[in-house]
Amino acid sequence: MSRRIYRALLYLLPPDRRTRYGAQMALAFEDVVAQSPDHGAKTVAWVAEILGLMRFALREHTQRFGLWLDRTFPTLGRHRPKIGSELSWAWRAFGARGWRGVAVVLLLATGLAANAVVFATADSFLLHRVQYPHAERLVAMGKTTPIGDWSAFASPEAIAAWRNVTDTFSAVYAYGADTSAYFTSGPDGPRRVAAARVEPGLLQFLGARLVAGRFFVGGEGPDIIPRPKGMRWFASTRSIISESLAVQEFGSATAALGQRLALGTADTTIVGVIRSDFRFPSGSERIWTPLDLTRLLPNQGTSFFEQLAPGVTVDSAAAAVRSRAAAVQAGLSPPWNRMAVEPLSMRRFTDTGDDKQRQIIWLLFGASSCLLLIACANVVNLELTTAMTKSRTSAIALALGASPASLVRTSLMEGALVVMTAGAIGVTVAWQALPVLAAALPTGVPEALTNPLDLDLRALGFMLAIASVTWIVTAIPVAAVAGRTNVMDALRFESRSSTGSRASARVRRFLTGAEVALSVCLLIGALLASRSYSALLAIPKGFDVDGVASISVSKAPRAEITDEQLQSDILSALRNTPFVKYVGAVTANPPDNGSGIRGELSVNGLVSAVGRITASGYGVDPDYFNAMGLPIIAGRSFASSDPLNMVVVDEAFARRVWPNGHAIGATIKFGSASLGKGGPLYQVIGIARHLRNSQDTPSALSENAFPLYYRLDNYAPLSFVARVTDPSQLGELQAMLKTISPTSRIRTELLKDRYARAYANEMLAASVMNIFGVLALLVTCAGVYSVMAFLVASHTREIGVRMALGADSRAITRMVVGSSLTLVTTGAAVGVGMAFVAARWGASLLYEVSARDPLTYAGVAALVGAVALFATWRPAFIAARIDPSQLLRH
Amino acid sequence: MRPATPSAARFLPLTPQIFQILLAVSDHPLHGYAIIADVAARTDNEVRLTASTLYDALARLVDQELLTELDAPPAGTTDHDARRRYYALSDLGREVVKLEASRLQRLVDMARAKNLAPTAGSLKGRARK
Repeated sequence: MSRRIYRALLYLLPPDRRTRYGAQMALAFEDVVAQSPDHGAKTVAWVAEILGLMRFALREHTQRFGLWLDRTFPTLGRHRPKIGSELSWAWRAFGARGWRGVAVVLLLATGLAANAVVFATADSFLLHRVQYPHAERLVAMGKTTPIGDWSAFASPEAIAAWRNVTDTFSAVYAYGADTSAYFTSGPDGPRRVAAARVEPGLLQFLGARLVAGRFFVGGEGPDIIPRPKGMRWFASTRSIISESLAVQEFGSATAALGQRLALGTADTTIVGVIRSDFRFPSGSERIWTPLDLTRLLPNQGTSFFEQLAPGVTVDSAAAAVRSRAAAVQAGLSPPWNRMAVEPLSMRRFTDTGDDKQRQIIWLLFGASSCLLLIACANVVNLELTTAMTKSRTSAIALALGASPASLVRTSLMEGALVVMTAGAIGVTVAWQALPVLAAALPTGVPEALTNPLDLDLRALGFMLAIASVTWIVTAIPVAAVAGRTNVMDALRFESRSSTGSRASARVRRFLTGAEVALSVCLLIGALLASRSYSALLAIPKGFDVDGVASISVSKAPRAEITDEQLQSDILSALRNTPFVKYVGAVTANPPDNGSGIRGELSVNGLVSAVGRITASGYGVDPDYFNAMGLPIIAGRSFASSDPLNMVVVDEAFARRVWPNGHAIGATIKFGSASLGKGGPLYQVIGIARHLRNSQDTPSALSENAFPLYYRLDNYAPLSFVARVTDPSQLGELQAMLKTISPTSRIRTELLKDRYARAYANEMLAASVMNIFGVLALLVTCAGVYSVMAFLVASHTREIGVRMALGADSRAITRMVVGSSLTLVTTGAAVGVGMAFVAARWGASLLYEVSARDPLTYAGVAALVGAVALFATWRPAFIAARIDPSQLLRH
Repeated sequence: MRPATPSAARFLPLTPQIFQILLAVSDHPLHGYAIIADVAARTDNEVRLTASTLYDALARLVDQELLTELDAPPAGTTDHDARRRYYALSDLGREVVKLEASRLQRLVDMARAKNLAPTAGSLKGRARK
């Protein structure tokens, strides 16, 4: 990535320099960074290289601009040396700034980095989610499944039929998951790399670029292997892989070509390698195998998507699809033509479908902008102070013949250097922070993004734009002060212009007040987000969450051991582990849904008034309820001798179907649908406490997927729950399981963490807001300190006179602290007001916390007040120790 | 001491960075990163060049004909990367380095005369220790 940024920045150089030296510079840059001994040295080298490159580019362009001026406007030629000397003066002034310069650069770098990180996130999740060509015309038609998911899935015949609707769709492509994954062998154990089947032409259509080899060609499909009982099995013999996988497994893209890649039980030959930045729409696949619709059986379906014909809108396409759906379905072979015509809907690739995520990202955008504004206000404050103290130097320059315009130009150039340096540091910080952010997201989320979460050219462009705005905002007030320098005033030693006019003091106080207001607003947001997240984590899950581990095992495709044997080995090993109290096998670990079962409900042989209902079926063994700590509130749990048609229902399900009780002993039926081998008629033997699952929202239980527990027959799901007495020994548990099956991928985690992942968006929002809030508080503290210190320094004589007239040190302290308190109280009041107004917008993001919670508002105001008082302490102390006799003598 | 050639004298005085770059390629031609590494090693990291500082200087030195850019790697290069370009000191460049070294020598002599710089003998003794 650093290489890409450096190469992108090389475009700052004039074309001839870039052509001649660009490649060599990039090579030397890579060597310099690579040869740096550690991470810190690498970062320092990186920043130095970027700054050096910008300086080189600036110098080249300045020289050329001067030459161009000479040629085009020969009469202006005499000004050219001035511009050069002004630039070098600006360089020197920038270099001689000391701690104040460092503070200014760091403040701006913090604000710019925060904005770059948030922009890159927003770009990947919202603004530019899809990088495919003509992404705005890519759509998928599909329907909502019984458990509320949305799916675009059809038979090969249906896909062929939709392909003929050429007035609506210009292209229709089929794809599907290739369930046979590849297992890498690494030091951390096997990792599963997912594969997808694609129709020839699809990868090119989505803009994938080859690094080596070729794409699939027409007629290249999976080979069909006959299986017993007339079944057929597809086995791919060719594959295309991502460059990152090729490098990881074979050393390079070209070395991977022609190699064999074991995909499930089949061997494929790698025919092509595509660039790693290509992401497939369905997720994190890094292997692709060919799909040929003519080789699928009529009853096998697959996913598909469409490209709208030019001029067709999503709404008109949806209308066309609805009007033709019945005709398309009637023309299909059984069983597809017997199915009810489902209401089809149309989704754009560019739609996010997640309003909450959108809101959270905009909230973070607001927060990062707030932080940048706070940093800018502080920087303007510091810069004004610098400009005041430099006014004597400026006056001397004016007296020696410099024009006010040249002072303004120098000041603007110096501002540009400050912002450029801050920008370079900001880019580095953002570049380092984005992988950390990606790691904090739930597993699979960053990998599934079709626009990877990184600092791409769009993010760098955005950064350049906000850096330019920052430059205008921070440099113009300072340039205005420089341009208004009055020689006589400035050279008079104790004049007001060396400490600032009354107007500039007002500006500084206003800016500090604004900082306080924005910080209060930001901190209130951060605290509310944290409290809301804590409340989400504390939602009862229905079971005793502490100490329940979830274990899932993916067996390597060619392992000698059967699933049943492996399950039995793992269960007995876990039962013999001293710190494992109970262990149970289950088909899916919550909060994931179980297998959906949907049908018209019959109770005791009569059709229920409830009608069609959906349950989420978990196949469990008898110890499951003990391992989960999931209470049976009525009836009983399973016994080993129970027949397979017995079920335990969820409390919410029982309440819905049997509002007056009488659930135990009743028989139920979901039309003709069944779960496991016991159905379709089940007998209720117990009612379990409601188990919170992914269909439930924090504030409401879902009416769409009630948990239903059935007996696990001899099927081995290789998924377990274990109640452990010491959760810190999870690592040992994982190591122990690894010895049972070294080639399998084993994931051990606490169920509590799995639930917490469901609130990853909220966690991220709360964490980022807190980081921004703390930074804002620190910046504001520094701002209050600098303004109060300046106030004391500029009023030393006044304080001296007051003391000479009888004011004691306590009165002086009171004066300084009072002045600070007035400033902070006003700022905090405005901040509270801003937060109160913004609460209307943010309320929907909060859970069980009022967006206008008085306690939070008061707490933040008090905190900011305390920090401001702390910042005022030193200036007040200095003011109180002023010796009037000494001062007045001089 | 022979008088400085006017064409070489106009480049004096050299900045420490330019002087070090010219010194680095005085024995045999080097590519960009090798120059950076040589300068850092000889000056004990006192003079550190970034890629852009180096190529900014190289561009000017080539324009001023103090360095020549070679079309092929020097004979005996074993691990040649086709993307790398090698730079050699030109005759004019060699003349300029010599002049600069003499100028620095004269400055040091003047300082020695006032006992403000260690003598060559004391430096050798210190080096032996």
